[in-house]
Amino acid sequence: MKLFLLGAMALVLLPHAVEAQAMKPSFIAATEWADYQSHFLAEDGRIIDTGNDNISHSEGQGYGMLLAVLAQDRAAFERIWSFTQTELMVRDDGLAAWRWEGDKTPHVTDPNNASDGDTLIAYALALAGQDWDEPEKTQAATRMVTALGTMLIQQSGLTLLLPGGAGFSAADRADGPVVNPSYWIFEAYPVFAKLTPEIDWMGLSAGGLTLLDRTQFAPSGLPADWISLAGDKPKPAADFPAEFGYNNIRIPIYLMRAKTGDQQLKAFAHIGNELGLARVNVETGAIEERLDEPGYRLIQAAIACTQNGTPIPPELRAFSPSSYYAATLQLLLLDHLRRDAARCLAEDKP
Amino acid sequence: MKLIGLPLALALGGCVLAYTMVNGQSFDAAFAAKDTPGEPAVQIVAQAPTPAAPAPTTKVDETALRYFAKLGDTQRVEAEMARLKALYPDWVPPTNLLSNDYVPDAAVEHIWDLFNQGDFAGARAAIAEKQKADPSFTPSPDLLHSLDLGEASARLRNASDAGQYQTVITIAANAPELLTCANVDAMWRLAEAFIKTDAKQRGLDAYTYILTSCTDPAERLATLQKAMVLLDRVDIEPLLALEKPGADGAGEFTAIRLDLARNAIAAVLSGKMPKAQPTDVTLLQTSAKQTKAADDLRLLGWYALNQKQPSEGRDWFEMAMTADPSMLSAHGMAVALLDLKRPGEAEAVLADYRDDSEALTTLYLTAAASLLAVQPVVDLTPDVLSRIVEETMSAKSAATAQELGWYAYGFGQPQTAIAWFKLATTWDPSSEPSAYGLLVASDSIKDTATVQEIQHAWSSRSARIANFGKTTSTRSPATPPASTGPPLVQQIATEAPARQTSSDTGGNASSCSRFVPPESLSPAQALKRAWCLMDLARPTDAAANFARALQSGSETVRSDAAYGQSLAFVRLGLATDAAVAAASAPQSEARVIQLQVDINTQTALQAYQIGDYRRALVALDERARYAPEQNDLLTLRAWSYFHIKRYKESEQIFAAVAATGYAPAVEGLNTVRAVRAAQPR
Repeated sequence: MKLFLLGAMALVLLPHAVEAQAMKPSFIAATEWADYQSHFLAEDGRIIDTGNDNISHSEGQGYGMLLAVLAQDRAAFERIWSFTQTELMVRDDGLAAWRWEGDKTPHVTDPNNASDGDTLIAYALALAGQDWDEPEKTQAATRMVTALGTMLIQQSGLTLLLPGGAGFSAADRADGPVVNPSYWIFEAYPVFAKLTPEIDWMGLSAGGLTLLDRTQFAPSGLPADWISLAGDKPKPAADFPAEFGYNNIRIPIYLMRAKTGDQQLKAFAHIGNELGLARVNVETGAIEERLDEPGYRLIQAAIACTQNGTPIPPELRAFSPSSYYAATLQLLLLDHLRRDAARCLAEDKP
Repeated sequence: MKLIGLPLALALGGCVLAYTMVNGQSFDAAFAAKDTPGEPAVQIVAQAPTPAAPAPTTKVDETALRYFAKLGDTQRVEAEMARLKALYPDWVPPTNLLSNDYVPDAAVEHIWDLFNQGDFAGARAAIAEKQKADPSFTPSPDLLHSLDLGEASARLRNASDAGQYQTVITIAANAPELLTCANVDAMWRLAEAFIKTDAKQRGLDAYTYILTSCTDPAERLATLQKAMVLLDRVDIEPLLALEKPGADGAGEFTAIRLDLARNAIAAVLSGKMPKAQPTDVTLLQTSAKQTKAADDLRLLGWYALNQKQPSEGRDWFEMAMTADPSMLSAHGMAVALLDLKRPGEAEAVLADYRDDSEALTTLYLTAAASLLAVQPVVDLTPDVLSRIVEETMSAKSAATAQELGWYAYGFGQPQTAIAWFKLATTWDPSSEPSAYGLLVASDSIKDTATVQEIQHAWSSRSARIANFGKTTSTRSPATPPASTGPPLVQQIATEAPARQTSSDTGGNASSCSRFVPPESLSPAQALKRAWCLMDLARPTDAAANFARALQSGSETVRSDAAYGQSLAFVRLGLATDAAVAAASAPQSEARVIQLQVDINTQTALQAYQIGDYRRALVALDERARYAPEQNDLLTLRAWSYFHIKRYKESEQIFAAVAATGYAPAVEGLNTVRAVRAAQPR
């Protein structure tokens, strides 16, 4: 695997804006971003999921584009977007095919879409268009947001988001509709609402929060990654593990970044136990796997600081990439903390 | 790289767009309208999004052109030159591309470098990096447009691979410059997208455009091949008509036409079509005679056999044998010879290949068994006989062993016959014909112990074994080997064929019991007497009287006589004579049908009785054209399949008939199931 290496970049101090030159301030250091790219971005513009057989997907491309905007790196954004557009944006409905494998022909091995990946790509495009004054990016974002509007459904009195175009609706499966609460990227909806006011994005945002209220499954108090809404009460979807897993550990990050759902955030304060973040069986409360990578541990530390003012432990303040997923979540959280919760990083400042 | 720019109009989902590429002459696929030759390259777009077209007044960015010139890449210089000319018709190319009057920007050169390597992502990033270093830098519209096109081309390919055909069409509509002879692949994919989205005519337009405008012979051929996969034969024909002479003077699509002919013939062989077009057959025949391609010769051979022309089939396989003496050729040849009822030649052809495959071994043993069963008996040479024996032993073939038994018995060698029948019953204990053979041969040497033993074992399952010695004496050695299984055969065989009862049959039982020479009667009298004799179940005498009646001057009498004579022959078991008799005078349609039914019933029963199960099946098939089979004949059919070891079909029919409660079929079903269960795997 050939990864894209930015040459020797100048060291830049934290946490201030990195680049002047009419750029918006960035809260991700150039060194961190270069480190991320050297691990997970290939020269052809694809983000590589190192924990998942090195495949790529719309989620990874979306995260890559979002991080590039947050890092104010137009060149990296162009690189990732070019790949995303040519390789994944092939669907007739204007959304992205979700799965791409380098060693398969054709590379797109599942043309279904994933609405979290679509949300991330559209959101990053909208931010890029806005931050860098590029109308073409804004137009591309608007087209995609419009297409994403077709994934919205009304169910149980709520506006909700189907995880993909095929395979999740009431028509497609016996226990459908099935939703995934971690597919709500709350910070994107106010931006989407400006692009397409005719679509009820804020209703979707509210629906996502209510969904969290209704899915604190006993005894764990946590939502399952995949939830069936076919019956009177939500329940873990068939054919998926009844667990709070890799998907849902993102929910607190999205809540904190969007500065919304303080109430809902409380439910995630004690994921697993005092030993740290874990995958949890929502029906038994049993811990299935402890998630030890720094990016995962930062999630709990950030919740603790947001809710109780507990300072972030010094070792979690530095970006330390391990797997693609943990590293991505860590950068998103560091960006949030430096931007909006500087107090959490106030002590022990390096 | 060759750019042929021609306007192509495509109707795309309600919007019509026509566009012109480089160069003058034009072709308008949708409207067959001609544009003015030599007109400048412009985009004519109606109600459709348009790519950003550079204004003609823009300063021409010669970076790429000079860059390629410096590299000495003349092909790319030409392409870039053509591209720039298309974009800027008023532009005058520099006379010396290597002069120093133009100082290219190294960073821009690098971007073009990335672009030319197909690294569009890298080129996009490099532009952004250069802009960051030099905020005044603006990439040329030409560069941006080239990148857009490069990405669109890749995206079109990816969408096509992912089966997202609407996306393919949309991309093509927004980037019509992709649709040039330099990028035939994009046009192939667009054509496929149209066809897959129920816009077949648009797809045909795209193929037609390629065949009308593009010149690369390999691409033209591939265009037809792509079309063949997606379209029916009838849609291909107009494309074939766009054929041009190839380098060798022959039509460039000769190979395609042959492929189509092969496909058509193969479709017949696989049962998809009953018959191929004569033009296809003739085309392949002419080619095969010339090229002596063994595959084609064999294909034609199998086709001839499929079309019930075994003699022609034999000829093709004979040519195939000459061109390619192999098991494949021998296989077809042998089947043709067996169809021609020439088992001796079939056996000889297969002799060298009989161990090459399981199928050939089986076929060889079938040929050998048929050869041994030929009547009158053929005196086989020691060579032939010894290889038949060798193969029979090694394959443990009960059917051939049984025929060897009858063969030895026919030559008055009951001891040898007994040995073969014993082997046959050992290899296939369920074979009634083998047991019957052993019984007959043992009886001929007065081995009553064995006779009784067989009768004891088989009486409940075989009427002829149970009744052996009660109604007939031993068979004479010259009698054709009779071998049948189920008792039902005797039952059917003794039933007289149905006869129309009508007043013209005349006579009564007592009026014709005394012999009168037919020649002494008038034709009309003879006719009346013949029907009377039929009623007395004296078909031989009846036939003689019908023959006299045939000499009548009255057509009605002759017709009636011919029909009666046929029935008499049928009743005598002389089915072939019956067919001849039926043809000797015009028959009413109802009578013809009745006769065909009777004749084929008789033929099937006779064939079955002498163990020629395949002929029995042929006769049943023939009979089925005239009348449906009832339970008795269905059961006979099932037994026939059973004896040629087509157990699956046998079981299916037994099961269907048994389901009606027909006892003999139930018995057959049990037998076939037991045999199948005992088979390996």
